[in-house]
Amino acid sequence: MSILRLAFKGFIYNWRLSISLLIGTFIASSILTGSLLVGDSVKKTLSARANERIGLIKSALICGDRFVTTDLVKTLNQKIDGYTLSSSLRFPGTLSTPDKTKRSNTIKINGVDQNFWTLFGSNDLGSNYLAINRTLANQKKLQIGDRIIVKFEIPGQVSKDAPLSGESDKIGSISGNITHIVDPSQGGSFNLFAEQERPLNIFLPLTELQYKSDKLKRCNLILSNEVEGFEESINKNWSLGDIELRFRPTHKGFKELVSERVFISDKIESSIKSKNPNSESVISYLINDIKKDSLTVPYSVGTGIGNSAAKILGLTKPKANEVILNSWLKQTELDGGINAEKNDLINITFFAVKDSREFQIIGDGLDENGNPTNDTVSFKVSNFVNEDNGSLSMKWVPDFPGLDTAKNLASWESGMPLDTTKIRDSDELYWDKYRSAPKAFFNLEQAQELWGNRFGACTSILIASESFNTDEFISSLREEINLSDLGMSFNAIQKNAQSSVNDSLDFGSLFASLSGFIIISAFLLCYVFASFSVESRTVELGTYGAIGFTRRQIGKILKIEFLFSLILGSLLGAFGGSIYTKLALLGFSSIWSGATTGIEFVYGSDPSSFAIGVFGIIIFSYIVISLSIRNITRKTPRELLSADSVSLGSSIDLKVKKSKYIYMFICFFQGVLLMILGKSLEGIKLALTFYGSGFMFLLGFIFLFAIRLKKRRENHNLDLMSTVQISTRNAGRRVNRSLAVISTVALGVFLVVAVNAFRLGDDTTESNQSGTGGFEFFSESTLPIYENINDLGIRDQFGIEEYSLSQLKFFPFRRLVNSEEASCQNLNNATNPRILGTDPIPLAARNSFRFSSTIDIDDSLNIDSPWMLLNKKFDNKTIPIIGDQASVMWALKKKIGDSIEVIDGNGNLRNLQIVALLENSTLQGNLIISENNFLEMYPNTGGYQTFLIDSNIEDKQKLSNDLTKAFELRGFDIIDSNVRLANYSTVQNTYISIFSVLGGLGVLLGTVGVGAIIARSVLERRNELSIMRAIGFNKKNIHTYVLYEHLYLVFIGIFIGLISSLVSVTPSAFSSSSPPFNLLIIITISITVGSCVFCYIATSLSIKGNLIQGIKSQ
Amino acid sequence: MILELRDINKSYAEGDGNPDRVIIKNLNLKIDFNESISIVGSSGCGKTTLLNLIGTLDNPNSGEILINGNDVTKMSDDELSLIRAKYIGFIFQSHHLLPQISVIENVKIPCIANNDINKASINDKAEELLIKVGLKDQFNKLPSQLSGGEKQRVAIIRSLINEPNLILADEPTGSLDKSRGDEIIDLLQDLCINDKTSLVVVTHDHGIASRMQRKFTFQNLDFIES
Repeated sequence: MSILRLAFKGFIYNWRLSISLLIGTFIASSILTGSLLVGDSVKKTLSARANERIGLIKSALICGDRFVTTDLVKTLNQKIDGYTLSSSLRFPGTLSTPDKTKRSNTIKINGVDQNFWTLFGSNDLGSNYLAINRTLANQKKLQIGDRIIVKFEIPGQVSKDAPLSGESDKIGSISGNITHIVDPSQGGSFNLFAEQERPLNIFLPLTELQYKSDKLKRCNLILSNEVEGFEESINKNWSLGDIELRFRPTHKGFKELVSERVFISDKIESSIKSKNPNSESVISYLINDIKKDSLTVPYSVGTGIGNSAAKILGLTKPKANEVILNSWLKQTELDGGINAEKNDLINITFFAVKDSREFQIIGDGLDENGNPTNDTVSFKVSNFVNEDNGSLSMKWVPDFPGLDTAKNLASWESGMPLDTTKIRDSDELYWDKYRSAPKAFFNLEQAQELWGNRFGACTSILIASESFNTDEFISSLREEINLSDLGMSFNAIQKNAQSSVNDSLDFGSLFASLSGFIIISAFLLCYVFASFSVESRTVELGTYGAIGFTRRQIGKILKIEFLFSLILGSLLGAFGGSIYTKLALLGFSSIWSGATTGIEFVYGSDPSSFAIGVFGIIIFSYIVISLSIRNITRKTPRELLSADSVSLGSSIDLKVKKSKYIYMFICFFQGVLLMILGKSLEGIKLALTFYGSGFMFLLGFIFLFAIRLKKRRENHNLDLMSTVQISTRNAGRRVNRSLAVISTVALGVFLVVAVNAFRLGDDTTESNQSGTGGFEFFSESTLPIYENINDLGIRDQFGIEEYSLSQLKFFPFRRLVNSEEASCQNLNNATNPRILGTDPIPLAARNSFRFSSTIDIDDSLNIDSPWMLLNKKFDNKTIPIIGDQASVMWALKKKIGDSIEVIDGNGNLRNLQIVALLENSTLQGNLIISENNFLEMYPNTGGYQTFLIDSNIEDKQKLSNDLTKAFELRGFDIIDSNVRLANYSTVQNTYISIFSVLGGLGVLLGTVGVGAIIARSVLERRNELSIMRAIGFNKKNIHTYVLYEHLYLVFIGIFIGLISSLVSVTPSAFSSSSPPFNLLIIITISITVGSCVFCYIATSLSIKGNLIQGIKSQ
Repeated sequence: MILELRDINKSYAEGDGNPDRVIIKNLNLKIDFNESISIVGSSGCGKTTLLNLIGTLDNPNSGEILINGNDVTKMSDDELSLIRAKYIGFIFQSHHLLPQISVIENVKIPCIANNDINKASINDKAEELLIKVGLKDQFNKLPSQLSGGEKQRVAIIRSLINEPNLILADEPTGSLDKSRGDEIIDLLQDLCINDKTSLVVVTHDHGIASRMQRKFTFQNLDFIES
């Protein structure tokens, strides 16, 4: 005989208790294991998604708006063994069927080479194909053989925001029959960024897309199956073509370097200059007017030159505020000149490009609104260059788009609003004779200051050709320039994919916390059952003591006996957990799909989850049962032998301990203190403070009722003349047991009600202070819109001129293209969060959106609206950002004041600081910075792709249709702001629904505990009840007597839970987004009715049988 | 001498400001090896309290209790457990057998608490004793399958298995009819009283009390040997 065997015999003999404990631990273990397995499944799903979207790709060069040569890839493939490098072109686009019945605005068009398919372990689709991915096929119900039309913006040589970038609407089109449907496993879901929904991909051969997009031998994406040495290899092997530079013939003794992007970036210019001190920049620009008094010459090229260029022309470099004119201008007005003479003062005007291809004329003496100003740009004529000077025939201007092909000056589509009526025959004559030869030369530095922009401040670079070696030049340039300095980015795709999975929202913890109340309830059940067990076995335990067992040995016997149940229950819980997980995943694909839009989950399990779920519960439940037997094993054998189970648990000491009063006071005091503290806080801090306050009130009330229950027993002067009075007094007989009931119910009600108070309602208010910001629509375009669509003239171009500015106003945002949505709608961790750039002033003026919190605002900043914090200048070049609270907190795991590091378009690490958080807004998923900062960080990102739309048009549907049609070629998606907000709210509300279901199950378990307590009480007091029957109480009286006693406890629990939860929801009750009171009332009524029914049933079952028999046996 | 009680006083708090209720007052008692005594008295006079004090299940308010010369009133809880395991055997009015284990296991259970018991021979010894009391065919039955007398016999064997110096029997026949009660007393006298062991029996029954070598009576706080 051993303690183990003795305990095992006890486990078998007390099988009812064993099963009860087993069920308790089974539930707890199932829930915990299941919660962790939900996390594993989410991770496995995301991991599988990541693998299918990147295949074997480990790293990539993302070129942004630049294009490298496919020769670079060929070179690398030849030079490096083991590497599989693929060059691709990837553009956003739109798809439609010829009959327009099927349409999608969010297509990714991929021109891919053979190696692309190798990177996905699949076969090349051949040399002529038009494939779509399975997701697109399913979504649009497309099949092989169906005809589709795909449209995309033909990328320009230069950003469409850049001056003289040419026309903005060059749209490419591909039409054909679908030849293949590519499954996710074959690379169909190719995407470099972690997005929740699979992309809608179209694949065609690279060469075909190169042809269609006018990008022969170019690609904007290099993919690699290796990460090590990838960046280094590319940076050691790029050619001038890869940075879109080339030499062009020029004057003898010089080499001239020009860029296909028109403007040469500052980085390239400074690098060349540092390696070639004798090099010299040249900048050419379009001058609108060269004026002398009343005489004007329209649309001439002006060039800023330095000493070398001047020497080529046989001149000396002009000084600042001086100009060397083409002798053509000496002529009379009739011949196309302005009668210019030396020392004349001339004025020039030119276009400066504002943010949205909105041109401002500089030098015309007028401000933006047409009011007179001192805005004139004047120069003194210092010299002339003969129009027939041979050096003028060289190209002083870059290859402005459309310049070479323009038949005449008037037909040049410069991308600027040229007034062709001003162009005279004499001007065309000059064009015919000299094409774009400059008519004026300026001081280089001054010209750069006037015409330089974010794309660069020179249009060519002259380098002395003496002892010039091209290879050495390129090598030296490679030392200075990393491709990432030019807005291209080397992306460790696989590593980022892993981190987006590993750092994704921890569903395991989330579910465990959502299920926490069930686990607590299960533990409480274990506690109650274990307590009942030991209380009913006092004589047995006393006998052990009398025989000579020490208290420790007695405790050991009980613990081992219970451990059999705990271990078995927990082990079974591992299986239960699997079922729980599968049910949860089923929920995610059906009733809870709002939380995880676009994902089909696969079941996943990690051994550690089983280990934690099983052993964690064993340990915790062991602690729980240890607590439950602690009191009994403290008693002496004599006490145990002489005790009956009724007297054992009831308190002999009727005095209320002073400590109870102190605890109660502390709890209430802290509750009040937190409320006072919370008054000065905002947002999440306010909510959490009041949540804490509510919880302290809950504890305070529990202590209050603990005291009250004891007092009720203490008071012998009560006139116990009714069943209710006797019942309520009885509730004080076993204070701890009664408090367990009260606490379980109160906590359940508190959690369910308080959490549901955070349920987001349909915020359909049109107030600017709402989550919609007062904007009727939110829209995004697949392709950028460069134009100022608030300009009525531009609206005319798009066919929406019927809407005036007062009827329709756009608030445009620039958008970082290669980025990921950082919101609750993307379960992945956004490693490249989407950044929007906007002018904060209009939003501040409208007082749009509600802020949940801001950083401390210094009074000296004189900031009226948190939006203006976006213009705040930090000493350390930190960029202020505003994000949505939910996105920042959950998706980015950050808080107000925290910093986020990103790589900007120049390859620099930039520090962004969260200065304000929006409360439940349509801007979720984005980080917002000022437009100025955006352009400084991402100078090459052109146009606007996100719009908030304010309108007062009654027929919203018509407006929506009109806008969609107007911007059809840009892939304009428009959504009612309230609908967008509701989509985000759905996620949070679904989580709350999950909690409500799980919390409700917890309350149910709590009431099972109440039922067990009722049954136990009746069992213990059967003699008492028998006597009551003997003295004349009928069965109904007895039923009422028992029922009231426990209903009293349940009602106290509900009351405490409700009052405490109301404290916690106070702030939101007074905010504009008031909690859903109707729902809270329904929840409370449901819990109350459910508890009453359960108590009634438990009472009925407990007193079933012949109570009189009890007295007979006496 | 196996047991000596010196000036034992025991009272219980009544609570609510009431004076303590005195149960035992200045009680002295000596019991030698091979001695049997009985304690009689009316209900609530303190018989069971005295037995609990002797059995180290309770502590006196004052006085000394010497078992085998050791004052148990100064001992820790674990030491008292050891004293009970080694020197004392309890027999209760209600047998208090463990319902979940068999007859022979109930008999052997003290060996878990007492490491000095020879574990190798315990089975033989238990079987021998059970055979001796006529329970040869009942070894593997559960207590619930036995009659009241049989259960009490098992309880007696259980109290003897560790060869204690002192057997304490609290109304050992209280739940049995007279013939069964007499059998149990015969058994106690046969098995319990020998060179090393003494017997203390608390009873209402003067007939049983008279069968012991010495008889004590509780009366109005007096403890009188008659």
